[in-house]
Amino acid sequence: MLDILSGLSLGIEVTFSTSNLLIGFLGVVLGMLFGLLPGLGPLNGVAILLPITFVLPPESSMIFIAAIYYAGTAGGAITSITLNIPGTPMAAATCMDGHPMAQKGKGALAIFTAANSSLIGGTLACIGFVFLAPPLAKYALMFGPPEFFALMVAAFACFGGLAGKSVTKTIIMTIFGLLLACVGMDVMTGNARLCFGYMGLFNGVTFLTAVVGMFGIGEVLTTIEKGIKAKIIHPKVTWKDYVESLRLIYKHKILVISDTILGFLVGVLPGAGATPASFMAYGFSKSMSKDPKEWGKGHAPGVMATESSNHAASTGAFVPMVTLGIPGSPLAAIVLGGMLIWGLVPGPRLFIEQPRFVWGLIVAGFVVNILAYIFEVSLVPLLMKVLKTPFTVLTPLIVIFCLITGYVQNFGMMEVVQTLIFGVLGYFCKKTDYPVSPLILAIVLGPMTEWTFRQSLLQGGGSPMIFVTHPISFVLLLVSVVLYGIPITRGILDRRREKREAA
Amino acid sequence: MKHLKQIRVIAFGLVLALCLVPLMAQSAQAWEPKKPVTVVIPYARGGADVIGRFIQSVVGKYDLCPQPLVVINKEGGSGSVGMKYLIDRKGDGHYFMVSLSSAITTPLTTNINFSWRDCTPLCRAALDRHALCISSKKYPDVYSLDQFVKLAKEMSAKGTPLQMGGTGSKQEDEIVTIMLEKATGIDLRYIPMTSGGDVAKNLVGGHIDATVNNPSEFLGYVLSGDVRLIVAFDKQRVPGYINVPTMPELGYPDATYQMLRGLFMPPDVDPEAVQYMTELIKKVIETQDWKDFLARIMLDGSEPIYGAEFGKWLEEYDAMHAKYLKEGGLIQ
Repeated sequence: MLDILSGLSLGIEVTFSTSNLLIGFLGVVLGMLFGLLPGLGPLNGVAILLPITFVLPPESSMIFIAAIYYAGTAGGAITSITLNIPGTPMAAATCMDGHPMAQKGKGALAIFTAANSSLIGGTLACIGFVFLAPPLAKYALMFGPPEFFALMVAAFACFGGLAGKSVTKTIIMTIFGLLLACVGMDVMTGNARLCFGYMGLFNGVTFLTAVVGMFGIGEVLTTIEKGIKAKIIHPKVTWKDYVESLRLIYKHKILVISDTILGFLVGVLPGAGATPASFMAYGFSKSMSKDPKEWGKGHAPGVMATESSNHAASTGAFVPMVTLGIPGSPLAAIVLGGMLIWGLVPGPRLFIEQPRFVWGLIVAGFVVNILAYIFEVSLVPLLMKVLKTPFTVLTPLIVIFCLITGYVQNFGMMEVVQTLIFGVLGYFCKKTDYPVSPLILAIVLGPMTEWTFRQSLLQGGGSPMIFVTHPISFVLLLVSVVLYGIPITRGILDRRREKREAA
Repeated sequence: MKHLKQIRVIAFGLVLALCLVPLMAQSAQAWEPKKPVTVVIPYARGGADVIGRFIQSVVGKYDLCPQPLVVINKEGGSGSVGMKYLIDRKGDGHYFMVSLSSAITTPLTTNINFSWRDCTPLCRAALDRHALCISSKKYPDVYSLDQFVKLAKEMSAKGTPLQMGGTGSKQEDEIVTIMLEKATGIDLRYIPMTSGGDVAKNLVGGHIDATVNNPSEFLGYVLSGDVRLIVAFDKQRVPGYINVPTMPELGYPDATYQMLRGLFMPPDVDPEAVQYMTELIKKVIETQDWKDFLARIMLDGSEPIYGAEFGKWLEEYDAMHAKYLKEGGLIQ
């Protein structure tokens, strides 16, 4: 306890120096910009700005990067809500309820809800980081390939609750997504799969091209077809929206806290990441909620679930990086590369040898979260103007933003073509009532599910018993069976009730 | 109407003049970049792209180039997507790629119809080392190669061979694993992982037994006692790991492997452009910043080689990979 307090005071001393606060603020502004500019995203922002940090002391560099990252994550949710284009992969799940809210004229409420939920998720996760880092590091290391595979099965199970009206259609879309996830170079054999000799497919299907295509362009096509019959009224932004968002979060406090914990625990696992965490939290909360039918139609708890969990998860991803030196997320991989250049040795001894760096990062996490929050909230009136832009002006812009997002994924035209194809696909899915989210989830989770499954089988010499003999994987698989059971039992009960009511 | 016609004529003249500008510029003598120089990294952000971004920062810091360097990641297909992108920039001297050994292994092991031979070799900037690393939590008593070999034989006899993690399939980690198996006559079970981070996590967590890896990546775990280095696959001992013997010292003179950090330009580039880039890279490599950087990430940058000499070395390097891939039964 005492060492935590002394660590915190050291961190406060580092973070609250004038220069570091300024650097943090600059990072927040830049990060918000990277999050808001379509396609760039915080990850590109960090990669582009990393060379600048080579002249700064390590702790200032880290504060700068953390600021870009946190603010960029927040900015990513804003574009999900306003334009249905996620600025970062981890904000993809926020599209599901955030954008429908904006379409109902509740855009400001949605952004306030997102900002408040992410502040809560991020701050609670930072507290978790301060007090639980060493045991969490041990927990993170318990997950080998079989445990990860079981976790992925559980993630799919969480999403069982996300099934659309038709179970068959959900299964079809999931399998189609898994098939798409197989395209590209196979890590386990080093051979190209499903590329048909076409070089452009070697990198496989990129997650964000699928998301911006299906959500962004698909949505635009649907809207064009419908015509602009119903003019959406966007009321003036008032403090009432802000207060309302707080009231809603208080009403759903258990949801926010449980999704924060879920997000944090998934984020801490190296390799899992914030994107699956947010989808898991969404599916889990939907399955558990009293009114699952409201979800996906502009239901505020949907935004709370994804935004609290993805912020908690991206903070959680710092735990294995700092305590173990393991790059558990793409950001951590970039930061670890930076640490070597700053002259630090990443690894388990970082906590002891570089307390200024570690505690500076932890305290900066709190400060930067709050800075990003203030910045985001004060931007809301301006952002609402975006929604008031005439449809004829906004639509071409959305299409262009989607294509840029596609291009930036790998700086190639292939990704642009992919985005367009996914756009058309998204349109037809909507028309024929095939749910899009199971496909998106399968593209996110598919590769890791496959790798860990095959790694486990290799480890077990070909026997699937390895999933049962490892206790964590066994428990997770049991949990998945229960999770799969919830929507099924619920469906049966609903049908019985309907019959009884009809009778 | 008359005005419109005039405007048209003026506009046409302006466009024509603008078109002629690059022509006139080209008639100037020595080659100089006329647009930003693109550094292609054929891998994901983080990890391997640090070296490209470092070159970018040094060029910027000392103002070595009149045009800025722009780093882009073109990942996918174990480095082949980025290489294809470079090859498609045929004749354009404003590009170079920073590649690891995948420039050699991927064309050898997949059926893509291009290879590093289609690029212009620019510079072998540095070499990275490989070492055998074992989980010291799981095997606290294994210190030497002899003990490791004995352990491996015991485990294979039980039907559960030692599990070796490594990045990717049919790439350097698997090749070095084959090298170790052939040299010492043991049988290991290679488990392909998605990244160096994936390997580190599984090794420190004790989910795999050992790995061959760049020693720099494991310095933190060696210092904390989670991982132990058994032997280096190198002719000289690794600075920072002076106590770790090398394979040649232990009687296996051929079991050495060095991983490439090489720079390549597109095919059919103006020799003057190649000359310019060579000079630029030489300037970068001569800075103290570069030397400090290499020391920190434990790369061997003692003998950079350029151009044709690098191309000749690549042929030998390619043959060595082909030999081990064949011996391991990974290619025909």
